[in-house]
Amino acid sequence: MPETLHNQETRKIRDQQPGKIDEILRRFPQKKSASIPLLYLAWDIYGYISPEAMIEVAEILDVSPAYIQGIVSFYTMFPLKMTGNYHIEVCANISCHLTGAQEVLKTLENRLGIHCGERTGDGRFSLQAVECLAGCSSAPCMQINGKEYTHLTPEKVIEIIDSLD
Amino acid sequence: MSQTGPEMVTLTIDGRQVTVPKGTPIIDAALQLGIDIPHYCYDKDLSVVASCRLCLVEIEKVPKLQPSCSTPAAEGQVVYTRSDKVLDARRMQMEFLLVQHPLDCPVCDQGGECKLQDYSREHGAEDTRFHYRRRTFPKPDIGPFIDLERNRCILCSRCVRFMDEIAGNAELVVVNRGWKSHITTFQDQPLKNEFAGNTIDLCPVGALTSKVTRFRTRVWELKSKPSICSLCSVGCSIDLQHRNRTREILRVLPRLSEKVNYRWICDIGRFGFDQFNSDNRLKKPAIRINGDLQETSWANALGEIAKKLKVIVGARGGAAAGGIIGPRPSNETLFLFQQFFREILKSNNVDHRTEFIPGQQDDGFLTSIALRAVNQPFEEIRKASAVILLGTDLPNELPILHLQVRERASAGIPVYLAHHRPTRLDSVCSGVWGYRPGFETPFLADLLKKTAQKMESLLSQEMEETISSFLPGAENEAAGVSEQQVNELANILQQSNGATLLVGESMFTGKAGPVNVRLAAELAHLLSSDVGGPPPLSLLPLHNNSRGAADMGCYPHRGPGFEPIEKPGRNTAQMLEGCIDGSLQALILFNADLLNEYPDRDLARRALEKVPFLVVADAYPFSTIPYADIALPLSTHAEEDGTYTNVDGRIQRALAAVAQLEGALTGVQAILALGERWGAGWRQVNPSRIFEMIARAVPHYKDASWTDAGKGRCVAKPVNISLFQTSLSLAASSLASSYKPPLPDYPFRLVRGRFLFDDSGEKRFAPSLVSRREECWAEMHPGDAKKIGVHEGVMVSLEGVLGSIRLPARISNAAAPGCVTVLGRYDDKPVNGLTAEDQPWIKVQL
Repeated sequence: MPETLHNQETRKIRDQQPGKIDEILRRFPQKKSASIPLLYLAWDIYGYISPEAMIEVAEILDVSPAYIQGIVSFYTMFPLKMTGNYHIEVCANISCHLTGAQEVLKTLENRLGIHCGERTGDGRFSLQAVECLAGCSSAPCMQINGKEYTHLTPEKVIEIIDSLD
Repeated sequence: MSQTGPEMVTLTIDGRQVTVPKGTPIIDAALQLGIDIPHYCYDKDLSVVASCRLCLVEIEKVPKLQPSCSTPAAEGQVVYTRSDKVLDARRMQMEFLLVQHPLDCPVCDQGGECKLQDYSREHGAEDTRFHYRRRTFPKPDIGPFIDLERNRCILCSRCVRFMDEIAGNAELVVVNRGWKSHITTFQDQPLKNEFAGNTIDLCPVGALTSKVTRFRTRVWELKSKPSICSLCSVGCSIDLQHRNRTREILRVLPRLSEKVNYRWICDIGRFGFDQFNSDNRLKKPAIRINGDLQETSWANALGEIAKKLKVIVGARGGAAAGGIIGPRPSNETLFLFQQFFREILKSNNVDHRTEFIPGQQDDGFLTSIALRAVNQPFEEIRKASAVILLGTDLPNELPILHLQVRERASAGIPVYLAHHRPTRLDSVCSGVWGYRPGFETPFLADLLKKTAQKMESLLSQEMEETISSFLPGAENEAAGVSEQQVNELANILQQSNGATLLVGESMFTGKAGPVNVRLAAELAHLLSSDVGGPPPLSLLPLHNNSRGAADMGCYPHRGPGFEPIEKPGRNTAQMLEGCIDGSLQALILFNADLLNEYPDRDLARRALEKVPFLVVADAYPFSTIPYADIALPLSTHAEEDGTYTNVDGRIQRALAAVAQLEGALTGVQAILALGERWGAGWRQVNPSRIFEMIARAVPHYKDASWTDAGKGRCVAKPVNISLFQTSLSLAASSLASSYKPPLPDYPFRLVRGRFLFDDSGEKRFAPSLVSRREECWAEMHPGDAKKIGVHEGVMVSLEGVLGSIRLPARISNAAAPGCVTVLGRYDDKPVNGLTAEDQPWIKVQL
């Protein structure tokens, strides 16, 4: 761990969810393999993948924070900024793209008044374009806080957004 | 692997046959035939990723081209490295690699030794078919040593793998994905690892270049001279590079040395060359006239020294003059220095121990010689079945040894470490034990006793008694290691047949040194697989010629080759006291930064003030200069030929890389000139002649030669131990003082240690190292900090009976309770000026 940060130790995950850490680590023969599940846990606790979150995950796994940053930046799903109460992830991969993902995205951007990768001022929504959500047969698709919505049209997404409270 | 050696396979490459061990990558097999297959990501010391695709070769019966770095050689394989298919692929791959690469070769420091340039010329197309806007990245600042230019990077990931696999700290990483991939540090923070500079050598393109050398030269203008690094006792082989006909050193590169540093060096050695170019030098001899130091000629200065010394020695005998030489100059200088005192002044007041006060005549190091300790850490760790480190913080003391121990650990050799504070090596150790600072002896005594019990080994009566005198009985806990922990360590040791012990400075120097070494040697004997052989014990002195200074006889009681002296002179402490009480009238300080290095700064200062005649000879204006009556400018390490003996006893030669600064003499020239001036019949000769004299005078250097030393092939022979008394007194009484309780108003123990990026020695004269240095801090245990209301980063004042300094506090579990740790040496933070050595007690105030 970088010595400059040596005393700004954060222990949020270890203080709040020690049992969960153990449970995740037990699932893998190698500690490093637990990176992604632990990052999901860190996301829950920190609200997004902050530098502190990366440092803590690195400490739990005995790897360098840079290694964790490499993983976080590789995947599109880890947010590097605070997400909204509803985190909307729109697939922008090829099947969805061909069936109108860009329109869906534009509609969402207009409706929420934010750009892709941003969060609404009231903190309710955040919007992110991501890679394949494994819904190619029912493209275009998106997920909100992990729940999948398929066969989207601009009208349908407005309906979905408005139905959320 | 069978007993007859590895299985061999024979393959055909470009029509020629070669036989290699099974599993050898094709790229290496080809190299044996002199066929150099172009490659970027492959490096024989790193893991194989096969990502650059430049080393693709055609193999008969395999439909697609294969990367020769990750394809093992197989029996009967027929490989083509220059077929049309291969050349075509190479050309296309080069075209891909150059899609994003800027055409800034004229301002790129890598130009001239760039693989991208070389392979473009050899294998590339003349033009590109990709006419897009080039992708660009922001440029981060990753520290004062290394410049990261991401736009030039071809993502071979050699640097990433080096940091992770060899340097042991994965600080560099590839982030993002696809065309946005780039190299970075965590949050663009500066690199911390002390081996990071090696990534510059590994980088095949201009993405990682040296900030210190940046824009100062083109590589084809550089001339190389083989040298030995002068910054620690490892003695890495290096090349000092300078531009022809100038005095400016512009680059340092590691020089392959299989037995020492291999192909790596640390950043201190790599970037510290700035010191040789520093303008902050002593340039002319100076003499004190009416209270002021005024420039003079060498002839005048030497004449004055000879005149003054003759008066003093004539009136009071040789014993009224003394000489202290640092453990840094060449063997030749050290040898002549003691020769000057012994032969010409008839004085045995010579010492090189500037950093500790020896408790008895034979200090810890001499004790280890007397006990036949092997004292070859590099050789030992290569063959030992386990490595046991006692009282050393290798990452801050001997970086390259740290790297080698790390390498052993990753090869599966267990490494155990006991030290008074956590070190960066802890993470690779199989076991780590912490004892309280200052309780080295009880810890060792306890460990030896328990290990002997477990091994059902009988210790000598004397040893038994000694051990019990050091064990504080019920106060066992006082050493900070629980009974159970010591037992645990003893259990491990009991099973570590064939282990080797490496003992650090904090254990073998100082008053307790000889006893600690005695205990460690006994322990080493128990663990040795060679019954009756020398104990597998190595001490780790820190300076580039600590070992040479001992061999050359810079001791008051031992001459060259440890020959006992009938009438021993005074050691450093006694000389300083002599300066104060008037029994020493003249003192010569030679390459000795005494005020910063001596443990009792107050005593050193008073001595330098008081002594009637003080000569200081050095290359740089150390803080001793203002006290001098005569100051002599010496050449730097880069300006002189000489041999240096490293921690392994390896005698290695460094050659002068640049011309001497006008007005300065090398140590050898200066002492010879003084001898000449004296009328002793000395005359100027080459250092190689002095080395011949050394080989005659020092029995264990008998077989060494100037030529072989240049090839790194000379190793000092074992010392004839009949020169030492067989029964060593353990001198328990001299230790009693170490265990005095704290003084009433001074509740904390001041603990000092080394820090790599500090200000010590010549480091402060290298601007590059000064820009990397980390500020001094006082480390306290959270419990203590809470008690006196100290928070992280707050300035505290450390007060001892002799002085005080103000430092920012760092609250950390690394500090033992009741202790304040200050690492490193800083000219402006004289931590050696707080207390007397025996009474390391201080108070901490806000």
